[in-house]
Amino acid sequence: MADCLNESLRNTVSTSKVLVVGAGGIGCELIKNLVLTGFKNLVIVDLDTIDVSNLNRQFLFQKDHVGRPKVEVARESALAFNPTATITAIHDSILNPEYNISFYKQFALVMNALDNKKARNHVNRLCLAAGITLVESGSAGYLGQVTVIRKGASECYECQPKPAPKTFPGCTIRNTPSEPIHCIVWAKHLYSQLFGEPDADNDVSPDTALENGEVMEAENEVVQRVSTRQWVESKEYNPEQVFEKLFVSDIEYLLSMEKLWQTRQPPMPLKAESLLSSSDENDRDMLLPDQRIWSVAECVKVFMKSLPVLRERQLKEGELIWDKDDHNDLDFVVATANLRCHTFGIQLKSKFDIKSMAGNIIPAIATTNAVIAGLIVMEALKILDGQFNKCKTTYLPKNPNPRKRLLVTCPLLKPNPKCYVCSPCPEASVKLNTNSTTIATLRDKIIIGHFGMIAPDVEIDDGKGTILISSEEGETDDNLPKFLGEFNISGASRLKVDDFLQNYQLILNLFHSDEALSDEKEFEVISDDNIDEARLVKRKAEDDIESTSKKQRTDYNNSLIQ
Amino acid sequence: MADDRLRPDEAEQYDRQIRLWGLEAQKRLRASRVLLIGLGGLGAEVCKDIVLAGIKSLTIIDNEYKSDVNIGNRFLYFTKDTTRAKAVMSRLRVLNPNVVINTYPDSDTTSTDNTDTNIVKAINDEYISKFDLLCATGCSQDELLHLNEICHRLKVKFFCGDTWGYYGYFFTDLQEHSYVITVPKEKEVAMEIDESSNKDKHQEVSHLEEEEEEMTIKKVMSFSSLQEALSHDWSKKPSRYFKRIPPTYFIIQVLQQFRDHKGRNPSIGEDAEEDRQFLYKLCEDVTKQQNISPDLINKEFVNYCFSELSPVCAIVGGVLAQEIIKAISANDIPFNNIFMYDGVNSTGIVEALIRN
Ligand SMILES: [Zn+2]
Repeated sequence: MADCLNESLRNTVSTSKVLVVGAGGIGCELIKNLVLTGFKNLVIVDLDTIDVSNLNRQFLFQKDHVGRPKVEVARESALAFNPTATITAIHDSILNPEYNISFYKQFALVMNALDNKKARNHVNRLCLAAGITLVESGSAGYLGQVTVIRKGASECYECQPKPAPKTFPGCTIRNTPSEPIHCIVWAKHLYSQLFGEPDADNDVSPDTALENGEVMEAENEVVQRVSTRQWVESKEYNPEQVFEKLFVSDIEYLLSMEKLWQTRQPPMPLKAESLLSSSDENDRDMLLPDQRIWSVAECVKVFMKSLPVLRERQLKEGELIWDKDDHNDLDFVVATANLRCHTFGIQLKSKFDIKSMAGNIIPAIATTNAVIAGLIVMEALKILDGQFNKCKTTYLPKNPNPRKRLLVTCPLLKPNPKCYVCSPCPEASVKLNTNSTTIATLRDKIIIGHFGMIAPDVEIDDGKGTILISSEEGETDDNLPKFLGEFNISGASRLKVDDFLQNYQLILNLFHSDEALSDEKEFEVISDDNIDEARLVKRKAEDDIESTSKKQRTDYNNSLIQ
Repeated sequence: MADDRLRPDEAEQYDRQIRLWGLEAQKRLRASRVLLIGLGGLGAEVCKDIVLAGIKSLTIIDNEYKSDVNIGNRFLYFTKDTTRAKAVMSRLRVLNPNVVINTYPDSDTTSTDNTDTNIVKAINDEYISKFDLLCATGCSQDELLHLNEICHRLKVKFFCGDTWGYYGYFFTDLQEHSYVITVPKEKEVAMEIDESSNKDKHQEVSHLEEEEEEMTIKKVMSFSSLQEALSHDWSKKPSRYFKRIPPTYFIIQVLQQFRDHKGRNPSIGEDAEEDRQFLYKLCEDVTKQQNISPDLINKEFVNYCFSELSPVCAIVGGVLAQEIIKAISANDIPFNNIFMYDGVNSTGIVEALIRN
């Protein structure tokens, strides 16, 4: 088919079975390129269904496909331009246990077209375990990158720590917001407090703990405070009363903590008269309706209207999960975030902007995905042609670099010998307070959240093999609320952590620390910044291209609070 | 004045790109009329990308090189019982119903592949002035010079490009191009390729917006015509230049001249060996014309220049389409003036070809 390839490569291409993980922006382009290059045996795995906002770039889909599984439609569309290809569409999560090492071993090559770190980590580990070469990729707006991962020969996806998502100290969110994003995070927390699985870490009421860890008492009275959820339930979700609590009495309570406002602009409780003044400076004709900023009065109206609607849905459907694409969910967050902005004298934001910030929307375009998918196939061809030594990491920046390169290539780096995933005996160290950290936190936030396992088994390396966490459903549930200290974990302890599906074992050293960790963090991964010269050069290249701030790069120890 | 407000369904469909290039850019795209010549793999990729982006109208001229074995474009037409242009039209209309798709000459009139008359050469001022932008692929050098001469004079934005196997390029002539750049005072938006860490980016960005207004600066850039670009004197480059910059340009010249002489692209059929010899001869011609060392062209390229390779069409087409979008929306610095891709060595370079 592809006359351009040499004969042996053409044969290899037409007989190789390959796995494509993801049928979204990059996936659609990739499937097209593969089929047109002569690949005849494809397996595609994707869990998503088609949304209208995909149609500006995911060209295998059209309006009448909205709501259908992406893999199914992608398969149909691709078969239309090469009916002789065998395309297997699997509508499922790649994280499921069916996709184990022997599943991966059937492929000549795996190509990732994913949009999240969790799945990338997982596929990385399975490819390492199965010994299959992986082409990894990503795109965001105008930018993109492609690289090649082979066990023992090149860096794996996790050889270099990735910057963790930025989080905000809880007291900033609860007590002293100074930017719209603080109010948006608060509004999302409020949503889950009221309508979702309430999380004690994300309560939205004012608290008495200050940034410096010092506990502060309100000047007038110390109210016996119950959780927001309990309070709201006791008022039967009466919108007027909830409104009064959130935007008047809680604010007055905050004001009573005078120390907070010595260097800050104090908030103003929402007063009825302020709701009448509607300052509409938007030029309606120039903007999309959602780009118009609501007046405070409109925010109040939307709050009053959406709260009972969501309450009713909660009673019918059970705990809700916030969804940026649900109109009521979004309206509620826009209204509450803006009302909070208003009380704190922070600039209000449009629904359009809040949707981006609350929903973590990554802008995405067809052209970048087309280029990245093309580059993936070019690397795939080198691998199948036995030219792994010619594979490269390629970055697509917005503009050519000073050396005139728009496609910026770096040689693949050797694996990091200290990598906690691909080194022969992976080991990592974590600092935490063993007396205040539960087994549940260890499992969910550290082992699953930070170290990317899916179903871990954990035992203490104490000679007795005390089992702390089992991947079997329910087996160690009694342990979860207990503190690490209750298992004689103090000072320094070694844990053996194992994920059977990922075929991944990790020695986890825990170090007890009495001091509070910075930014209210629950744990801190201790890294040795022993980075060799080559890695520094590559990092420099990445920094240049990505213009990633230094601050972000060193922040990767942060926990995932949100 | 026409109402340039986006309908709610358009806002929804284009949401992810409006968040990137803004509403103004989307409105300019929505008002632009594009003429595209050549439905090979590269032309098809560009069609797909700019139709998805949401231009006002696309008119397609399928030129005379359509006898080539094309595979890169098969994703746009796979119905056998109709003409290529017609099949592509219906596919593109489904891809984005907001875009008006035409062919020229009108596909309803009979015999569009009358090879006696050269459609491209017959294009005149009056016809081109109906468009804001022209993109030509698969043409001969004569045809390109003819089209560029008109566009340069009438100030119609001009792009031309091609791919041959692992190689590809495109050239840009935006004449006097006005555009704006947006500069956040501190830094550009950081790159994140991950959903979860991208959370971070948006928050970062919102910080910037909060702390300081973004500034937009108006700029103007002048472009050379194709004739001027082709007279660029490569012999003046210092010898170390080619240690850094691969000589893809000369390979492209050889392949373009092959087409100009033979009226087709190199073939792997029974003419393969003859074609190979002719390519070697053209290498000598090109190095003489350009007054450069014959060693600069590694003859290995003849093994990699046959037919079309879908990923190469996607890469060159993606970069080209993005430059078209950039030119129409008058946003950001355009690439002045040639992008060259070499898939054998994995290089993608932007070079300035000027009369020097
Ligand atoms: Zn590694």
